[in-house]
Amino acid sequence: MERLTVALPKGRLLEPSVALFQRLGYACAVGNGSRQLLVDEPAADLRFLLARADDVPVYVEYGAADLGIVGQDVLRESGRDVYEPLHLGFGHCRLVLAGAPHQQGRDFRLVSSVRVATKYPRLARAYFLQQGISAEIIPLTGAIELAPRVGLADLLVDVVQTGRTLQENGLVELAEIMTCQATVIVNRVAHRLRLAEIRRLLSAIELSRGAGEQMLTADCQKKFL
Amino acid sequence: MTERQTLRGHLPHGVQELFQGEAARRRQAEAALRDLFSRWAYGELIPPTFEYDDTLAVGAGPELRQAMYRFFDREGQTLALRADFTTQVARMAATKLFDQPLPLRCFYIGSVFRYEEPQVGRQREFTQAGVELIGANTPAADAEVVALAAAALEALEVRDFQINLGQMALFRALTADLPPDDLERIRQATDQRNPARLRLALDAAGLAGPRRALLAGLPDLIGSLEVLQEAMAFGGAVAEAAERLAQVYRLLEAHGVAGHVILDLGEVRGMDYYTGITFRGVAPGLGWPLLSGGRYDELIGQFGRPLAAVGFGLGIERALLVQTPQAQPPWPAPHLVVQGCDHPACLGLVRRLRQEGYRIEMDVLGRQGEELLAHARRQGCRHVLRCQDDGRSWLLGDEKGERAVTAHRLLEEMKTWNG
Repeated sequence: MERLTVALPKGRLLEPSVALFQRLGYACAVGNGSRQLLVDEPAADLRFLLARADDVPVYVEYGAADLGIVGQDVLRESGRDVYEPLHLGFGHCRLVLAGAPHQQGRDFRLVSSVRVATKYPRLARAYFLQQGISAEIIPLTGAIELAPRVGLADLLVDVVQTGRTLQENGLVELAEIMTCQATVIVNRVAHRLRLAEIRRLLSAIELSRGAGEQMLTADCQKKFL
Repeated sequence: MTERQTLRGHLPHGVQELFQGEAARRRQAEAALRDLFSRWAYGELIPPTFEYDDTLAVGAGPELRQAMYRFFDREGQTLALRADFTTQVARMAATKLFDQPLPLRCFYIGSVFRYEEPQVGRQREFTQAGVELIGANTPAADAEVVALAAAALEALEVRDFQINLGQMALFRALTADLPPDDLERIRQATDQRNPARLRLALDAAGLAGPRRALLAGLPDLIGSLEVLQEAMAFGGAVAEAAERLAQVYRLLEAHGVAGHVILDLGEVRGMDYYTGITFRGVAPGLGWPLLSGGRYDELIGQFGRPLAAVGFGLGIERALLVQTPQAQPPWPAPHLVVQGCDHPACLGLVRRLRQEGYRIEMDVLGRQGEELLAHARRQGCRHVLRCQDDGRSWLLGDEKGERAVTAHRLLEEMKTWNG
């Protein structure tokens, strides 16, 4: 049998993800100066794959990785068809609508078209549709805060953790779209064919995650439903 | 190559062209399935590639309807390319086949078209093969179709496949009285095997007690007959649905395919369509299911003749991706290349060799000698033939040179050639 492959995301979720597997007793020697993108776990039938966070749902949907860890913001934005059996209780963040202070209290429903810069075009589109707001979505790949300052967009949709970046750019939060955390995703076929191994791994993760950690905010989940 | 030629060679996104070995493999797979389905006494239907849009929309869920290619005919009617065969077969069963003895056993093989992002083994045009068993709502009919699905994956030499078998009737019975929004939330969370989301959906629906416990457990009820215990104890339509699934499973044991089958009560896709068992076939090496099917007792009635039905559809390109061995059959080389000739005797010999089943290429460019031999070699053929004395005798050439042969001698010698 081939090794069970777990895709880990580069970026802010990498360190807590690696720590999680190390708590389970795996070496999980990825990242931290190592340039290896594919690492076999020496003492277990497992291997780790290091991918860009945006790509983790792709690896898992195609079955190139059996499981993955990814933020719910990235997962929802990807629209990929995968199982999501376990939320991890770390990597909390919020997807928000933000803009210059003078935008506060404006009724965007009555504006013919607002321009919105975002790294999350799919989620932004769904949000505005649900709110009955006509929006022109401008997809960008980074430094979204810049867009309203230079007149590229009226508003932005982005994830915030502390809100400091918004503040530094003179922007304020106008609405919360959803709250997110890290989650385990599983390929639909791998879940069928390697159920026992996957269940063992999931329950080990669930145990190590600790009872004290909040699993998910009900509020955030209601918004996905 | 000029820019114009390059452009002309372009294809629209989502279609593919098969060459030589790949084309041969596809046709072999189709032939294997056609042969298998016939031996189970299923008869082939060849429906049209396009029909009226509103006919094809019957029974298609919103996603499939969105994925259909539509266009107008000159009278302004909306037509659509088929995105699935089942609706067409249902229409045919309810209309032109109305007086055929039941149950009807039909199969189909052909292209379907979906405006979706291409994935592994599924372009916008892809090949589906499948069966429908119409006019029988019995465990034996359910089991026959699942067993045939297993036989189809075996016929395609798919290794280590597994069929997850669920029961939509059970999920329907558990959720029958819920408002559509609550129901859909529960179904989606179950389908995603997302327990956190499922808990919230059950909260939102205000469910408690044993029904809640059973629904909350569905995504994890995967295994053999033991996963049905809880539902059996539930009583009513839920227990009936579980009992039906148990009967089908026992029949599959008798069919000798239960080793491939896993009961999976979290299998709740296609709820607007399936009314009884549902199943999906998967195999290592591909992240998507190879086949899916189930019982749909309400579709055919929409064409005016209520008939129970069960069937499955299989993606041939996907099955080929996990077929063993992966070796491609080579493009069939000619056994013999014959120098162009106008003598009746020579052409007569060529006709005879072809009747014997040999692949004979007759040159039409006037090539001779070394040039012709080089051309034959490029195609993987080692022998060339030319006639002499006005078609009264022949010279057989290969890398060692030429020698005279009679027609009889040639036939004897060709029997010893490989391939």
